[in-house]
Amino acid sequence: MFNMKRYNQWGKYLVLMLSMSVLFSSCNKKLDIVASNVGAEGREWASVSDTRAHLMGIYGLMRAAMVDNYGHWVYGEMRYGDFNSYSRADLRVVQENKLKASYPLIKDLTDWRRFYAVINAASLFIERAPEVLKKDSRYTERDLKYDIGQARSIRALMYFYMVRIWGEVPLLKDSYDNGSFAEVAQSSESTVLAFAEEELLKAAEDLPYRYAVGQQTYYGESESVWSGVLVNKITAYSILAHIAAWQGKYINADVYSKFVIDNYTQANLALLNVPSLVSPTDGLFGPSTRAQILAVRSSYELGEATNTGHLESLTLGYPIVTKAKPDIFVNRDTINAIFDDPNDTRFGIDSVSGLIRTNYFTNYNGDIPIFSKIKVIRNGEGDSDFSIFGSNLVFTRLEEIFLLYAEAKTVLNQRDEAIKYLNQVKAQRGLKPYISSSPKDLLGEIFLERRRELMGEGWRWYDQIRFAKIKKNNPTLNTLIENGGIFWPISADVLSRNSKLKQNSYWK
Amino acid sequence: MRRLFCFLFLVPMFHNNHAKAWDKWKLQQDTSQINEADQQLLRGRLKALLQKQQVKDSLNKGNVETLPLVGIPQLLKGQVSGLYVQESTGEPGTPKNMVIRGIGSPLLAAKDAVGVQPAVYVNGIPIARDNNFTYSIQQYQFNRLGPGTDNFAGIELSTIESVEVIKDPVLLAKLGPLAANGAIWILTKPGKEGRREISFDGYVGLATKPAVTPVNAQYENLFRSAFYDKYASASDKLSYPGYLSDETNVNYYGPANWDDAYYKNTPIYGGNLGIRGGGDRANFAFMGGYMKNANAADKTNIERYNALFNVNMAPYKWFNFGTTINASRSLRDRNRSLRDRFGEAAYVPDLAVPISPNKDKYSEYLDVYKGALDNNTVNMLNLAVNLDLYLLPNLKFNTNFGVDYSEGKREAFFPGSLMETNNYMSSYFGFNQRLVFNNSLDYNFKFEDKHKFDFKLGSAYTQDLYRYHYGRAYDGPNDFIKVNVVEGDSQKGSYLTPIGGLYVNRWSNREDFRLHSLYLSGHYTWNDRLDINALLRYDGSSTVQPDSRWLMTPAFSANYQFVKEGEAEVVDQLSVKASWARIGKPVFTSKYAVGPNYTADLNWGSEKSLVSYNGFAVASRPYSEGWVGYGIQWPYTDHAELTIDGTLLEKRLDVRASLYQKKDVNQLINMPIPAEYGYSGQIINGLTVQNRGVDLNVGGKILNDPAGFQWTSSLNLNFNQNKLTALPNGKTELKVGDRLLRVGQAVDQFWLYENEGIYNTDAEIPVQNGRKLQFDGVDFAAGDPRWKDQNGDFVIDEKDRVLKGNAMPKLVGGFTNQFKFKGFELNMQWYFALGQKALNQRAASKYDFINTENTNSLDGIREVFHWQQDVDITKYPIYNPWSPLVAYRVDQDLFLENASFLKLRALTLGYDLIQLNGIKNKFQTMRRAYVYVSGMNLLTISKFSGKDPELIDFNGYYTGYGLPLSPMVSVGIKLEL
Repeated sequence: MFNMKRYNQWGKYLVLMLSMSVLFSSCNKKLDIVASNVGAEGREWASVSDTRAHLMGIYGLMRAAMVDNYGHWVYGEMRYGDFNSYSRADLRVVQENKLKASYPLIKDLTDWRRFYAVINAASLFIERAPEVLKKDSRYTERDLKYDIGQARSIRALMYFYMVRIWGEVPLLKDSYDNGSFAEVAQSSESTVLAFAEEELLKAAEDLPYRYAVGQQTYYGESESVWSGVLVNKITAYSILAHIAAWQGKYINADVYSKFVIDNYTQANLALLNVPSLVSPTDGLFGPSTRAQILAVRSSYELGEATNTGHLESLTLGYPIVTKAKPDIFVNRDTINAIFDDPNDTRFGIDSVSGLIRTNYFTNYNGDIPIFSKIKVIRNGEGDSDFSIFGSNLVFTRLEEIFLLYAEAKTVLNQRDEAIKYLNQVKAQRGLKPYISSSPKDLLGEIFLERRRELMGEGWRWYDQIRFAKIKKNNPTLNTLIENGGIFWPISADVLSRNSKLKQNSYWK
Repeated sequence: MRRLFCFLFLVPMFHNNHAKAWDKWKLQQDTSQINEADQQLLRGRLKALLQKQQVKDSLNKGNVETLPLVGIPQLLKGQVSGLYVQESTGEPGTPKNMVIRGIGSPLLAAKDAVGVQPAVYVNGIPIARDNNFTYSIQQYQFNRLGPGTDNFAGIELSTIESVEVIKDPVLLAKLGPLAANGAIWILTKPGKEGRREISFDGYVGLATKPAVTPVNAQYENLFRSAFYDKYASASDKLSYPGYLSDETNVNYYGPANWDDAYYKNTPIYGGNLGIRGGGDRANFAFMGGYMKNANAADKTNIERYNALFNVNMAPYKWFNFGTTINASRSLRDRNRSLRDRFGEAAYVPDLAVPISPNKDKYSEYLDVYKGALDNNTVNMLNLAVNLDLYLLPNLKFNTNFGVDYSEGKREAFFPGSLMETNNYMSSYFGFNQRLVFNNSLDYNFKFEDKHKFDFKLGSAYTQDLYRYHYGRAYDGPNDFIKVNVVEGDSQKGSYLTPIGGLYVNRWSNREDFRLHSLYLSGHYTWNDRLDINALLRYDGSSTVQPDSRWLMTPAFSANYQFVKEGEAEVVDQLSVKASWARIGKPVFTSKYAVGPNYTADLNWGSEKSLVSYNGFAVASRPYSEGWVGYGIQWPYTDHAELTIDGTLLEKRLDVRASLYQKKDVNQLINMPIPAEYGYSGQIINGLTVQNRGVDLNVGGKILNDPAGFQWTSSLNLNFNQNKLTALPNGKTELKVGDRLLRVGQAVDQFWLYENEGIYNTDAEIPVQNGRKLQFDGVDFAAGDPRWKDQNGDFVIDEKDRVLKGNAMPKLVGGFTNQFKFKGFELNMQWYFALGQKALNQRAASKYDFINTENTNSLDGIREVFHWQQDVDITKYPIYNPWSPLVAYRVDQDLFLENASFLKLRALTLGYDLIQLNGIKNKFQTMRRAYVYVSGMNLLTISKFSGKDPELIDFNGYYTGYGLPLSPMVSVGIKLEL
């Protein structure tokens, strides 16, 4: 009996212990784990690091949206442009405006989802960032103002970007971040652009020229970290000027671009000579801390340089990189036709040495010239053998705004002012000034300057449209403008997700 | 409800019915002298520590013990009805696909393949599989990051005692959510009381070269000239590839003998030594072994060291204890294809010039490869501890603790000359760690001898942790520094920065999964004739949202034995069983549990590994992966089965047939929403896939003369068909990438244009209202394919694609024959899969050379093994490859082929030397000395035009990348002393 009792107790305690351990180690508590690879709603929007992460997230989404499938250049440069496809059939059909072709690249580029992701993230930021103000005292009214200004500007830019590509697009002013996802029909171009304009004006009020000036910091970092990275007051006005010009509202374009011209020094901007512009390390496209109007960054030093998504992946070839032939190139005839002045520092013949300048093109005398204006291999100092590119996508820069201003003034028939600013750009490039008595058409000359100056920066197609709209002298393009053929088709996938959408009439 | 279960758990202890019961269970003083009855009891108890599931679908080890196999999937291929095993490559040690009774969800991406596979239990501990979270940073998903070794390749097959394939709904329900896709129950060799038993088995063999027809540039040039002559413009002709246009180039136009360097007859070998023994109160087993398996192609091989240790003890009659440790280390040499290498590097170099088909040139390349580093190591540990506590003779408390841990390590370095003078290095370390802690209380009693009851109340807790760290760097200072070295001096400003200016990207991730279950099961037997099983379980998962985290699921079955042994003349045994179970399906990502969430979404189509903007971490909604809302619930699966089991003709014929239905309900899928919110879709419940089919097993002893000739034959068959029965929100169709899911149709169908020939001239193209027939907005032209206008709207577009062909076979099975004559044994195994189709992507890429080679993607890569006649070029018409319609697109039925096959998988001839009197007399203790010769992959009968109809990816695409399943021969001996 003694033994039994001992056994009895023994067993009982053991079972009790085990059972208790089961009970306590289990049930609900153990199942509450914090997912380490996603952020939960309850923990987000609580501190400055959240607002910074979300703000940078908007920029990052914008980068992805613009460079996916080389969109910025395929949309902006390829159609009837100066670039030719060497062997890629998909790029060749874009050049011919056959946008229904069934290449994966073209199918992907007809999808606007990724632009709306930027818009949604920006809307969400505008709605949620004020919460942080209450929760984290390090987040100030000033920060909130700057941040929301940036979110508004980027959202407006994305709408403008899409209107240029698709014409009418749905206008969503809020994030509707509640899982409802109502279908929204397309709004007219003018409605969307009016919203963008209104937003940019609001943002322009709040945005500074520079961030973290002097002793101040922005998100704890000094000016060198933010210089050339963030959207500022000048950016907002530059986009405003473009929105106005795209709609033919040159009076507004004049006002907005004039603001940029009057105030650019406050943002540390300057007109650049060609070597400073194209320097892979120190130029506008390189990972420099130069001030920018709007550049999408991909710094090698910060681990964001990539093999794809940069113009270099399309344009560079041997001997700059190991790839034998570039995907796209500007042929010699076009180069010779455009760069008609041998003194041009972008492309011309050096009168002293007799050598061909290589700021824009390399291998001019080879079988195909390499467009090497933008060639930021790694941090700009990289050798040819490793094709990781770290160039900025420069949306607009001061020279571009000068020329836009000149364009506006010409349309408004203020030729002297137009010539003055055109000649400022020309002077920077070593060209003879345009004389008002010149037989050449001033507007034609301005657009020719844009064609030379902005080659490879995603403007050519839109410039052709604006030029054709003003001059009405290009039968092909004017017909396309009339029947909506300047827009891209909307992808079947996007159409199938929203029954209220209509395909662009030209592509029906 | 939870409380109730927790309470129930404690009830047996506090109920003081022991007054009677304890008295019966008289505890004696434990002495070393025990009587016979107790001995029997102890033996039974030790055996009970690890129990078989007692299902009939078990592996007949005699069929496979002579074959040089590496992993569990290979072991089971063609052996059990309802289990389909597919090897998409012959590369030893790579993951294989296993599916029990059909796929429960559509296989849309590489990561989906893991989600339909059964769980593998080793001594009751489920093996933790590699989590598929690495795919989210992989631009190219040809292989999972890391060593790429199968989780099921770590177990030495000769240490296995039994393998059972569990399909029974109630048994699966008892195992719980991890077994929702079926289970494979493996027990390793246990200790054994009695005399020491020593076993040894060893084999040597040869992986032989396959027969190939190599070609040089002449062949390629002729192939292409057909297109250039017919369709090329002047500028197209100018950009004709240089290596083909120069016929004096010996490298390409010289002898094509790369195969001599690529394929080599390679030895394989292995050995395993074991010892077992023990007494009444304790026994043990120890085994250790080594094996090396190889493929004749590309010097691929796997080496494995393994050790098994098992000890069981019964220190008291009421307390038994057993533990098994299974450990192994695998080293793997992987294939050297360009695709896999550049895919891992996520870097696309200039691919204009292919490798030369010449042996000398190729050998130069291989010599460079000698400077490479490609170490793939997997260490695996599987530990099971079992503790039985008999509170009463009929009341048992069992605690079971298990660990399954496997860590994978990969170190890769490729010298600069392999990638445009850039070298590349990467290192990966990742582990899967699973802790299992189960407790149960088992109570049984009899009532009037007719009624037997058995109740079990249990709790099971599983805690998984998956982690990886991955770093890769390009363009190191030279080809001698092969690993990333960082500055180690913490005082320096450059602390932890890589030496030599390396561009190092680093990633790491972790994923947790926890599952807690409570269950109550009951088993009732009436008169040894009727068996009724019932189970109720309550599962809580950490990866389901807290408000719907717990799921209650029932299961029940009834088995009635109509005829018992000796009751009837012709029929020896006959029983019918019906069962049904609902089991929750686990979700292995914690992303959905938090509801609306935030992630870093910086990637674009061709770039998957960005983590910052301007050097700052980012956050945004998961636009690319899809919106996750609230209200996400457990997916579950409903299994139903009806089985008839009979033995006839004096036990010479066994027949078993099962009708089953498996319905995987309420599964999660990304459903499209308006694109204007930026999301790729939203992830919601509602996908249901149903699998229905029949399993059939027939086994017969055709000739049964114990002294003379014996012939046994067995056939297993599975017929299965899947069907999508529901999509979320009542939708009837869902397009995912290149696939279409349509309610009422199978989920493994291809979505294709139907090809009806070619438009030879412009005049042949139909015109309606002055407009030519268009393909999605582009006019057809001469040289384009004729695709059928299914809906007659005079436009060929997506609406004209039809669902056609199944990637999964309809009928799978194995047919085994064994002949015995005077100690000689001949075993012959056939394996077949019928009714599946494959899309020949290899042919499509070869024909679509204009697009694949010029877009600089890895699709256009040309491997050395592409210099062979691996595409039947008489099969396809000559379209215009420059056509903007992409004439040789893979999504047309031109490339759809019948991939049915019948294979003679194995043939073994063996003889037991113990039959010889001389041997028997000399080695008295010897119980078995079996010598054998075996051959594997001996014969394939198929209409498939590619290399092998089995080497097909999970999604039914044949890429030509699978290494051949070429014949392997081996000789070996099995000794038992």
